[in-house]
Amino acid sequence: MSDQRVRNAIVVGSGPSGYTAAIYLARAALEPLVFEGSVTAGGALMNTTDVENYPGFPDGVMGPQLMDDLRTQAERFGADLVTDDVVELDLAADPKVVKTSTGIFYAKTVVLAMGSAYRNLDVPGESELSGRGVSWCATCDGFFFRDQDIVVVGGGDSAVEEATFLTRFARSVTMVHRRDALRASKIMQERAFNNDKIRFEWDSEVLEAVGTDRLEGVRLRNLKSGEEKVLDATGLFVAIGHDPRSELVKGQVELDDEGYVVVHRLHSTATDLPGVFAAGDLVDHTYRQAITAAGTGCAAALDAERYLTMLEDTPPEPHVGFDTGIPAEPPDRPEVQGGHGSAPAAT
Amino acid sequence: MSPTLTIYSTPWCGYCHRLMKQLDREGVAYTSVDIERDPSAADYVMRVNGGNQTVPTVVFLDGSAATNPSVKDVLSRLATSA
Repeated sequence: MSDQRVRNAIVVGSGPSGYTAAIYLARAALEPLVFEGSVTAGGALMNTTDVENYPGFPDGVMGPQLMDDLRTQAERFGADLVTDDVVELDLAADPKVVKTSTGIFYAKTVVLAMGSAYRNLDVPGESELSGRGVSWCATCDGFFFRDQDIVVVGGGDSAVEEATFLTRFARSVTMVHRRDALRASKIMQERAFNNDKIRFEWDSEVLEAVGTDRLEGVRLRNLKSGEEKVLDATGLFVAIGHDPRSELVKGQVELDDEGYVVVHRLHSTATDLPGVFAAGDLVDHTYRQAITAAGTGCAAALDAERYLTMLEDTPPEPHVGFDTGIPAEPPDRPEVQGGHGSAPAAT
Repeated sequence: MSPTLTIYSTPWCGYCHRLMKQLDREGVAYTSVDIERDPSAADYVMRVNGGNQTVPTVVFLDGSAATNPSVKDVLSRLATSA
Protein backbone atom coordinates (compact mmCIF):
# COMPACT_ATOMS: atom_id res chain seq x y z
CA MET A 1 0.00 0.00 0.00
CA SER A 2 1.83 3.10 -1.21
CA ASP A 3 0.41 6.51 -1.96
CA GLN A 4 2.05 8.90 -4.41
CA ARG A 5 0.09 11.94 -3.33
CA VAL A 6 1.70 14.40 -0.96
CA ARG A 7 -0.25 14.58 2.26
CA ASN A 8 -0.51 17.67 4.38
CA ALA A 9 0.51 15.80 7.50
CA ILE A 10 1.60 12.39 8.67
CA VAL A 11 1.54 11.54 12.38
CA VAL A 12 3.99 8.87 13.51
CA GLY A 13 2.71 7.24 16.68
CA SER A 14 -0.49 7.38 18.63
CA GLY A 15 -1.23 7.62 22.34
CA PRO A 16 -2.63 10.84 23.75
CA SER A 17 -0.17 13.02 21.80
CA GLY A 18 -0.52 11.32 18.41
CA TYR A 19 -4.29 10.97 18.58
CA THR A 20 -4.77 14.55 19.80
CA ALA A 21 -2.57 15.83 16.97
CA ALA A 22 -4.70 13.75 14.61
CA ILE A 23 -7.93 15.22 16.00
CA TYR A 24 -6.73 18.78 15.52
CA LEU A 25 -5.24 18.15 12.07
CA ALA A 26 -8.35 16.32 10.92
CA ARG A 27 -10.65 18.98 12.28
CA ALA A 28 -8.65 21.55 10.34
CA ALA A 29 -9.52 19.51 7.21
CA LEU A 30 -5.86 18.57 6.69
CA GLU A 31 -6.69 14.86 6.34
CA PRO A 32 -3.76 13.49 8.35
CA LEU A 33 -2.44 10.00 7.85
CA VAL A 34 -1.66 8.41 11.21
CA PHE A 35 0.59 5.40 11.68
CA GLU A 36 -0.49 4.15 15.08
CA GLY A 37 2.03 1.35 15.46
CA SER A 38 1.22 -2.35 15.21
CA VAL A 39 1.83 -3.40 18.80
CA THR A 40 2.25 0.05 20.32
CA ALA A 41 -1.07 1.51 19.09
CA GLY A 42 -2.62 3.55 21.87
CA GLY A 43 0.70 4.03 23.63
CA ALA A 44 1.49 3.54 27.28
CA LEU A 45 -2.10 3.97 28.43
CA MET A 46 -3.03 0.67 26.81
CA ASN A 47 -1.19 -0.96 29.68
CA THR A 48 -3.08 0.79 32.45
CA THR A 49 -6.41 0.27 34.09
CA ASP A 50 -8.22 3.23 35.61
CA VAL A 51 -6.97 6.68 34.64
CA GLU A 52 -8.19 8.91 37.44
CA ASN A 53 -6.37 12.15 36.66
CA TYR A 54 -7.43 12.87 33.08
CA PRO A 55 -9.66 15.96 33.28
CA GLY A 56 -13.24 15.46 32.30
CA PHE A 57 -13.70 12.00 33.74
CA PRO A 58 -14.84 12.44 37.35
CA ASP A 59 -15.28 8.69 37.77
CA GLY A 60 -12.04 7.82 35.98
CA VAL A 61 -11.70 6.13 32.62
CA MET A 62 -9.95 2.98 31.50
CA GLY A 63 -6.71 3.79 29.68
CA PRO A 64 -7.58 1.66 26.64
CA GLN A 65 -11.08 3.15 26.54
CA LEU A 66 -9.68 6.68 26.60
CA MET A 67 -7.35 5.84 23.72
CA ASP A 68 -10.17 4.23 21.77
CA ASP A 69 -12.30 7.32 22.28
CA LEU A 70 -9.51 9.64 21.10
CA ARG A 71 -9.03 7.41 18.07
CA THR A 72 -12.74 7.48 17.25
CA GLN A 73 -12.75 11.25 17.64
CA ALA A 74 -9.86 11.60 15.17
CA GLU A 75 -11.56 9.23 12.74
CA ARG A 76 -14.81 11.19 12.98
CA PHE A 77 -13.09 14.25 11.52
CA GLY A 78 -11.42 12.33 8.72
CA ALA A 79 -8.05 11.17 10.04
CA ASP A 80 -6.75 8.18 8.12
CA LEU A 81 -5.61 5.77 10.85
CA VAL A 82 -3.33 2.88 9.95
CA THR A 83 -2.31 0.19 12.41
CA ASP A 84 1.21 -0.20 11.14
CA ASP A 85 4.77 0.68 12.11
CA VAL A 86 6.91 3.25 10.40
CA VAL A 87 10.22 1.62 9.59
CA GLU A 88 12.08 4.50 7.98
CA LEU A 89 11.80 8.27 7.66
CA ASP A 90 13.46 10.85 5.44
CA LEU A 91 12.52 14.06 7.17
CA ALA A 92 14.93 16.34 5.32
CA ALA A 93 13.48 15.41 1.92
CA ASP A 94 10.86 17.55 0.22
CA PRO A 95 8.29 16.15 0.46
CA LYS A 96 9.08 14.14 3.56
CA VAL A 97 9.17 10.39 3.08
CA VAL A 98 7.58 7.89 5.45
CA LYS A 99 8.09 4.18 4.87
CA THR A 100 6.21 1.31 6.45
CA SER A 101 6.75 -2.39 5.88
CA THR A 102 4.16 -2.25 3.12
CA GLY A 103 4.45 1.14 1.46
CA ILE A 104 5.92 4.61 0.95
CA PHE A 105 4.08 7.81 1.79
CA TYR A 106 4.79 11.51 1.37
CA ALA A 107 3.88 14.58 3.40
CA LYS A 108 4.61 18.27 3.77
CA THR A 109 4.70 17.99 7.55
CA VAL A 110 5.38 15.19 10.01
CA VAL A 111 4.34 15.07 13.65
CA LEU A 112 6.56 12.75 15.68
CA ALA A 113 4.70 11.12 18.58
CA MET A 114 6.49 7.82 19.16
CA GLY A 115 6.47 8.16 22.93
CA SER A 116 8.92 6.57 25.28
CA ALA A 117 9.45 3.11 26.62
CA TYR A 118 9.87 2.49 30.31
CA ARG A 119 12.93 0.53 31.14
CA ASN A 120 12.12 -2.91 32.42
CA LEU A 121 13.85 -4.80 35.16
CA ASP A 122 13.79 -7.89 32.97
CA VAL A 123 13.13 -10.19 35.91
CA PRO A 124 10.68 -13.07 36.20
CA GLY A 125 7.17 -12.03 37.12
CA GLU A 126 7.60 -8.46 35.97
CA SER A 127 5.57 -8.50 32.77
CA GLU A 128 3.11 -11.11 34.03
CA LEU A 129 2.17 -8.96 37.02
CA SER A 130 2.20 -5.67 35.15
CA GLY A 131 -0.97 -3.84 36.09
CA ARG A 132 -1.55 -6.26 38.95
CA GLY A 133 0.97 -4.89 41.38
CA VAL A 134 3.88 -4.08 39.10
CA SER A 135 3.70 -0.51 37.84
CA TRP A 136 5.83 2.13 36.18
CA CYS A 137 3.80 5.18 37.15
CA ALA A 138 3.31 6.20 40.77
CA THR A 139 1.11 9.18 39.99
CA CYS A 140 -1.10 6.94 37.90
CA ASP A 141 -1.41 3.93 40.16
CA GLY A 142 -0.24 4.97 43.62
CA PHE A 143 -3.74 5.66 44.91
CA PHE A 144 -4.64 2.02 44.50
CA PHE A 145 -2.06 1.02 47.11
CA ARG A 146 -3.51 2.82 50.08
CA ASP A 147 -2.23 1.45 53.41
CA GLN A 148 -0.14 -1.17 51.69
CA ASP A 149 3.57 -1.98 51.56
CA ILE A 150 5.30 -0.88 48.37
CA VAL A 151 8.73 -1.37 46.84
CA VAL A 152 10.30 1.24 44.58
CA VAL A 153 13.29 0.19 42.48
CA GLY A 154 15.83 2.83 41.50
CA GLY A 155 18.04 5.46 43.08
CA GLY A 156 17.70 8.52 40.91
CA ASP A 157 15.54 11.60 41.19
CA SER A 158 12.56 9.92 39.61
CA ALA A 159 12.72 6.95 41.99
CA VAL A 160 12.89 9.25 45.02
CA GLU A 161 10.09 11.36 43.61
CA GLU A 162 7.94 8.27 43.14
CA ALA A 163 8.77 6.95 46.60
CA THR A 164 8.01 10.28 48.24
CA PHE A 165 4.77 10.61 46.30
CA LEU A 166 3.73 7.08 47.24
CA THR A 167 4.11 7.79 50.96
CA ARG A 168 0.90 9.82 50.63
CA PHE A 169 -0.92 6.53 50.27
CA ALA A 170 1.29 3.69 51.35
CA ARG A 171 1.89 2.16 54.76
CA SER A 172 5.55 1.82 53.87
CA VAL A 173 7.78 2.39 50.87
CA THR A 174 11.03 0.46 50.56
CA MET A 175 13.55 1.81 48.09
CA VAL A 176 15.73 -0.86 46.52
CA HIS A 177 18.96 0.40 45.03
CA ARG A 178 22.04 -1.33 43.65
CA ARG A 179 24.45 1.01 45.41
CA ASP A 180 24.95 2.19 48.98
CA ALA A 181 23.93 5.75 48.19
CA LEU A 182 21.24 7.38 46.11
CA ARG A 183 22.09 9.00 42.80
CA ALA A 184 19.33 11.52 43.33
CA SER A 185 20.05 15.19 43.93
CA LYS A 186 20.84 16.28 47.48
CA ILE A 187 17.49 17.90 48.10
CA MET A 188 15.64 14.83 46.88
CA GLN A 189 17.79 12.59 49.06
CA GLU A 190 17.04 14.72 52.09
CA ARG A 191 13.35 14.44 51.41
CA ALA A 192 13.65 10.69 51.28
CA PHE A 193 15.81 10.40 54.40
CA ASN A 194 13.47 12.68 56.34
CA ASN A 195 10.40 10.70 55.41
CA ASP A 196 9.49 8.21 58.16
CA LYS A 197 7.62 5.96 55.75
CA ILE A 198 10.62 5.38 53.47
CA ARG A 199 13.02 2.53 54.18
CA PHE A 200 16.06 1.45 52.18
CA GLU A 201 17.50 -1.81 50.92
CA TRP A 202 20.99 -0.78 49.85
CA ASP A 203 23.33 -2.72 47.57
CA SER A 204 20.43 -4.83 46.41
CA GLU A 205 18.95 -5.95 43.15
CA VAL A 206 15.53 -7.31 42.32
CA LEU A 207 15.56 -10.92 41.22
CA GLU A 208 11.87 -11.61 40.86
CA ALA A 209 8.39 -10.20 41.16
CA VAL A 210 6.71 -12.89 43.24
CA GLY A 211 3.02 -13.69 42.96
CA THR A 212 0.42 -15.47 40.92
CA ASP A 213 -2.63 -13.31 40.20
CA ARG A 214 -1.28 -10.33 42.08
CA LEU A 215 2.08 -9.27 43.39
CA GLU A 216 2.83 -10.76 46.79
CA GLY A 217 6.49 -9.99 47.24
CA VAL A 218 9.78 -8.98 45.71
CA ARG A 219 12.77 -11.28 45.79
CA LEU A 220 16.00 -9.39 46.43
CA ARG A 221 19.68 -10.24 46.50
CA ASN A 222 22.25 -8.28 48.43
CA LEU A 223 25.09 -7.67 46.03
CA LYS A 224 27.74 -7.59 48.78
CA SER A 225 26.69 -10.58 50.89
CA GLY A 226 24.87 -12.59 48.21
CA GLU A 227 22.01 -13.11 50.65
CA GLU A 228 18.54 -13.47 49.14
CA LYS A 229 15.21 -12.64 50.73
CA VAL A 230 11.63 -11.91 49.80
CA LEU A 231 10.14 -8.58 50.87
CA ASP A 232 6.39 -8.74 51.33
CA ALA A 233 4.83 -6.11 49.06
CA THR A 234 1.68 -5.65 47.02
CA GLY A 235 3.13 -2.91 44.85
CA LEU A 236 6.38 -2.82 42.89
CA PHE A 237 7.16 0.47 41.16
CA VAL A 238 9.93 0.37 38.61
CA ALA A 239 11.69 3.73 38.33
CA ILE A 240 14.97 2.85 36.68
CA GLY A 241 14.40 5.32 33.87
CA HIS A 242 12.83 5.26 30.46
CA ASP A 243 13.99 5.90 26.99
CA PRO A 244 12.37 7.94 24.25
CA ARG A 245 11.53 5.97 21.16
CA SER A 246 13.67 8.20 18.96
CA GLU A 247 15.65 5.54 17.11
CA LEU A 248 13.72 6.24 13.90
CA VAL A 249 14.80 9.89 13.76
CA LYS A 250 18.34 9.58 15.09
CA GLY A 251 20.70 11.51 12.84
CA GLN A 252 17.83 13.47 11.27
CA VAL A 253 16.43 15.75 13.93
CA GLU A 254 18.40 17.01 16.88
CA LEU A 255 18.30 14.76 19.92
CA ASP A 256 19.62 15.61 23.34
CA ASP A 257 22.11 13.48 25.25
CA GLU A 258 19.32 11.25 26.52
CA GLY A 259 17.80 10.72 23.10
CA TYR A 260 14.83 13.05 23.46
CA VAL A 261 13.84 15.08 20.41
CA VAL A 262 14.78 18.71 20.94
CA VAL A 263 12.16 21.37 20.28
CA HIS A 264 13.75 24.73 19.98
CA ARG A 265 11.46 27.46 21.08
CA LEU A 266 9.39 28.09 24.12
CA HIS A 267 5.78 27.25 23.34
CA SER A 268 6.65 25.49 20.11
CA THR A 269 6.89 21.87 19.06
CA ALA A 270 9.15 22.64 16.07
CA THR A 271 12.26 20.50 15.73
CA ASP A 272 15.36 21.75 13.96
CA LEU A 273 13.94 20.48 10.65
CA PRO A 274 11.30 22.67 8.98
CA GLY A 275 7.92 20.98 8.89
CA VAL A 276 8.83 18.40 11.54
CA PHE A 277 7.16 18.70 14.91
CA ALA A 278 7.39 16.54 17.99
CA ALA A 279 5.07 15.93 20.91
CA GLY A 280 4.39 13.79 23.94
CA ASP A 281 6.86 11.60 25.78
CA LEU A 282 9.28 11.76 22.86
CA VAL A 283 10.19 15.29 23.97
CA ASP A 284 9.09 15.34 27.59
CA HIS A 285 11.69 14.84 30.32
CA THR A 286 9.54 16.17 33.04
CA TYR A 287 5.82 15.52 33.18
CA ARG A 288 4.97 12.43 31.14
CA GLN A 289 1.28 12.57 31.83
CA ALA A 290 -1.54 11.72 29.45
CA ILE A 291 -2.85 15.26 29.67
CA THR A 292 0.51 16.91 28.99
CA ALA A 293 1.06 14.57 26.03
CA ALA A 294 -2.37 15.47 24.68
CA GLY A 295 -1.50 19.14 25.18
CA THR A 296 1.70 19.00 23.18
CA GLY A 297 -0.03 16.85 20.54
CA CYS A 298 -2.52 19.66 20.13
CA ALA A 299 0.31 22.21 19.95
CA ALA A 300 2.13 20.15 17.30
CA ALA A 301 -0.98 20.04 15.15
CA LEU A 302 -1.45 23.81 15.46
CA ASP A 303 2.23 24.38 14.66
CA ALA A 304 1.95 22.09 11.61
CA GLU A 305 -1.20 23.84 10.48
CA ARG A 306 0.48 27.22 10.80
CA TYR A 307 3.53 25.95 8.90
CA LEU A 308 1.31 24.69 6.07
CA THR A 309 -0.40 28.07 5.89
CA MET A 310 2.97 29.80 5.66
CA LEU A 311 4.08 27.38 2.94
CA GLU A 312 1.05 28.38 0.91
CA ASP A 313 1.80 32.05 1.50
CA THR A 314 5.43 31.71 0.43
CA PRO A 315 5.86 32.98 -3.14
CA PRO A 316 7.08 30.40 -5.65
CA GLU A 317 10.81 30.06 -6.00
CA PRO A 318 12.11 32.51 -8.67
CA HIS A 319 13.42 30.95 -11.84
CA VAL A 320 17.12 30.49 -11.28
CA GLY A 321 19.95 28.53 -12.79
CA PHE A 322 21.56 28.38 -16.22
CA ASP A 323 19.80 31.22 -18.00
CA THR A 324 20.10 33.74 -15.20
CA GLY A 325 23.48 32.82 -13.85
CA ILE A 326 22.04 32.88 -10.36
CA PRO A 327 23.15 29.82 -8.46
CA ALA A 328 20.28 27.63 -7.40
CA GLU A 329 19.80 27.63 -3.66
CA PRO A 330 17.11 26.08 -1.63
CA PRO A 331 14.30 28.54 -0.94
CA ASP A 332 14.03 29.97 2.52
CA ARG A 333 11.67 27.88 4.52
CA PRO A 334 9.14 29.64 6.68
CA GLU A 335 9.91 29.61 10.34
CA VAL A 336 7.24 28.55 12.73
CA GLN A 337 7.05 31.02 15.54
CA GLY A 338 4.37 29.11 17.36
CA GLY A 339 3.18 30.37 20.69
CA HIS A 340 -0.27 30.25 22.09
CA GLY A 341 -1.06 33.78 21.03
CA SER A 342 -0.03 33.32 17.44
CA ALA A 343 -1.35 29.87 16.75
CA PRO A 344 -4.37 29.70 14.49
CA ALA A 345 -7.66 29.29 16.25
CA ALA A 346 -9.01 25.78 16.12
CA THR A 347 -12.11 25.93 18.20
CA MET B 1 -19.20 -16.53 8.55
CA SER B 2 -18.26 -18.62 11.55
CA PRO B 3 -15.29 -17.44 13.61
CA THR B 4 -11.92 -18.88 12.71
CA LEU B 5 -10.23 -17.42 15.78
CA THR B 6 -10.60 -17.65 19.50
CA ILE B 7 -9.20 -14.81 21.59
CA TYR B 8 -8.53 -15.51 25.24
CA SER B 9 -8.66 -12.35 27.29
CA THR B 10 -9.35 -10.76 30.64
CA PRO B 11 -11.65 -7.82 31.34
CA TRP B 12 -8.71 -5.57 32.35
CA CYS B 13 -6.42 -6.35 29.44
CA GLY B 14 -5.99 -3.29 27.20
CA TYR B 15 -4.12 -5.21 24.55
CA CYS B 16 -7.00 -7.71 24.35
CA HIS B 17 -9.58 -5.00 23.83
CA ARG B 18 -7.39 -3.30 21.27
CA LEU B 19 -6.88 -6.48 19.24
CA MET B 20 -10.59 -7.25 19.27
CA LYS B 21 -11.47 -3.70 18.16
CA GLN B 22 -8.88 -3.90 15.38
CA LEU B 23 -10.31 -7.22 14.19
CA ASP B 24 -13.81 -5.71 14.34
CA ARG B 25 -12.64 -2.96 12.02
CA GLU B 26 -11.15 -5.53 9.65
CA GLY B 27 -14.42 -7.48 9.64
CA VAL B 28 -12.76 -10.59 11.09
CA ALA B 29 -15.05 -12.72 13.23
CA TYR B 30 -13.72 -14.27 16.43
CA THR B 31 -14.88 -15.88 19.60
CA SER B 32 -13.68 -14.26 22.79
CA VAL B 33 -13.21 -16.14 26.03
CA ASP B 34 -12.78 -14.37 29.37
CA ILE B 35 -10.41 -16.64 31.23
CA GLU B 36 -11.34 -15.12 34.57
CA ARG B 37 -14.85 -16.46 34.09
CA ASP B 38 -13.71 -19.80 32.75
CA PRO B 39 -10.86 -21.41 34.70
CA SER B 40 -10.72 -24.31 32.24
CA ALA B 41 -9.96 -21.76 29.51
CA ALA B 42 -7.13 -20.38 31.64
CA ASP B 43 -5.72 -23.92 31.89
CA TYR B 44 -6.06 -24.26 28.14
CA VAL B 45 -4.20 -20.99 27.53
CA MET B 46 -1.38 -22.11 29.82
CA ARG B 47 -1.20 -25.43 27.99
CA VAL B 48 -1.02 -23.92 24.49
CA ASN B 49 1.30 -21.16 25.66
CA GLY B 50 3.95 -23.21 27.35
CA GLY B 51 2.68 -22.52 30.85
CA ASN B 52 2.31 -18.78 30.49
CA GLN B 53 -0.90 -17.25 31.66
CA THR B 54 -0.66 -14.45 29.16
CA VAL B 55 -3.41 -12.68 27.28
CA PRO B 56 -4.38 -11.93 24.63
CA THR B 57 -3.73 -15.41 23.33
CA VAL B 58 -5.13 -16.10 19.89
CA VAL B 59 -5.84 -19.68 18.90
CA PHE B 60 -6.39 -20.47 15.23
CA LEU B 61 -8.54 -23.23 13.74
CA ASP B 62 -5.53 -25.51 13.30
CA GLY B 63 -4.81 -25.31 17.04
CA SER B 64 -1.76 -23.07 16.73
CA ALA B 65 -1.53 -20.07 19.06
CA ALA B 66 -0.06 -16.58 19.12
CA THR B 67 0.56 -14.39 22.16
CA ASN B 68 -0.33 -10.69 21.88
CA PRO B 69 0.01 -10.66 18.09
CA SER B 70 -0.47 -7.51 16.02
CA VAL B 71 -3.60 -7.40 13.90
CA LYS B 72 -1.31 -7.59 10.88
CA ASP B 73 0.16 -10.86 12.16
CA VAL B 74 -3.31 -12.31 12.66
CA LEU B 75 -4.45 -11.25 9.18
CA SER B 76 -1.37 -12.67 7.50
CA ARG B 77 -1.77 -15.98 9.33
CA LEU B 78 -5.39 -16.15 8.30
CA ALA B 79 -4.43 -15.40 4.69
CA THR B 80 -1.78 -18.13 4.74
CA SER B 81 -4.15 -20.75 6.13
CA ALA B 82 -7.06 -19.78 3.84
